[in-house]
Amino acid sequence: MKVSAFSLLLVITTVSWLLLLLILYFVFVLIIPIQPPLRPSYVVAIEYVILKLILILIAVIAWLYSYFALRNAFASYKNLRKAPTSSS
Amino acid sequence: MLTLLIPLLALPESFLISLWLDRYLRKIGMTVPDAHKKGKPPVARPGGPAIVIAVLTSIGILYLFTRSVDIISFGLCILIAFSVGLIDDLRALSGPVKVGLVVIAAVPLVLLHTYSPVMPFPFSFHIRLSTAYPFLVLVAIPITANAFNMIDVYNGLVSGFTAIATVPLLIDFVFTGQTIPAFLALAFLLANIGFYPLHRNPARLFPGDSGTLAMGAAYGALAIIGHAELVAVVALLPAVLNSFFVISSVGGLVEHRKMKKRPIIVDDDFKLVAARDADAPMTLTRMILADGPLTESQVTLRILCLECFSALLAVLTFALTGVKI
Repeated sequence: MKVSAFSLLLVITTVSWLLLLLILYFVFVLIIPIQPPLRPSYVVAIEYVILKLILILIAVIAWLYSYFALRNAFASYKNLRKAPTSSS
Repeated sequence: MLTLLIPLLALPESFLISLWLDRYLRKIGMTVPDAHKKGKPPVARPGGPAIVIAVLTSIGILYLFTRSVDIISFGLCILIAFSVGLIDDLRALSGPVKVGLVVIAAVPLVLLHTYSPVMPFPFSFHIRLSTAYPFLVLVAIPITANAFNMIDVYNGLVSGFTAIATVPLLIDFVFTGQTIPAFLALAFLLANIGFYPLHRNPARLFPGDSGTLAMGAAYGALAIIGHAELVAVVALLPAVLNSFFVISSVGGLVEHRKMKKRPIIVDDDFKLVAARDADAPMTLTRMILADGPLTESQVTLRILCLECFSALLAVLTFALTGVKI
């Protein structure tokens, strides 16, 4: 059974919504509040900042990649990137 | 009670100015061909002034009663975005220049400090962006303005889309007791509804970039002033996805008239067909057309249905923030 393009777009919209909530939760609720132990040395404080930046970068790249993956999955499922055939 | 009636003025005002603009623009020859119709009939453009004048006059009267700085900030934001769009309507600007100029529209929001750096998040969490927030405001307005500009491809689409997307914001403002943002949202919603009869298929008046940039900037400003950023982003998901897919396909901000490969082809029956070219940009319309050719009205209806679904998700997002509905 072939799923219609519109139904797939509804699924993509829902998945995008969930991904948006997930990335915001990861970045703002889990990663940014990470704090070093009390009275950290200068080096430890810098290490925590770098760690947070790396984690945020990984999360954002994964988030953007998920949209590419959704787009490409749709395109390949619906043959949008193939040369037209006589039946299309 | 009297102030409650002021935003309602935007509906007849927008409709009547649209009617006048339709006649006046045709008289002075300011028309563009409707590329998706047989014979490419001329359509008057720009109709953006109808929406902007309707919103500005109704919120201007509201300001006399309330003296709220939120109204000044919102009004200036629309006016600047509208001016940039009008320049683009009269003399086409390149994509990056247009986006760069729309940043100025965000400045009143920052200077008048009509924002809160704390964003409500589902499940009673709050996102705090104290120092970064003003910079995000400067980025957010061009993003929303550009997203609305990119979705303005078919008759009745951008005005219908904007009206539907504004409903979740209005619900948010009403249930959180934010009177001024609720009035601004109502005036904006009604101005779009008043414009719709002349914009719907077959269109007599196109909003032009002056209309779409003002709509997008107004929408972004409403979300910022009313602390409903997340609800706004969710309500705009189809437009955001469309922008993301286009930008990632063509590798940057490219005017749709300057795209090398067309995502959509108009066939002999004036139906829209998705391009099967590997290099053609991936747009929301192209994805909708993946099952086969459709008429312009059918495509518009599907995008508006998708927007209704996103608006429901936006209301759900707002409900999850813990506010009792």
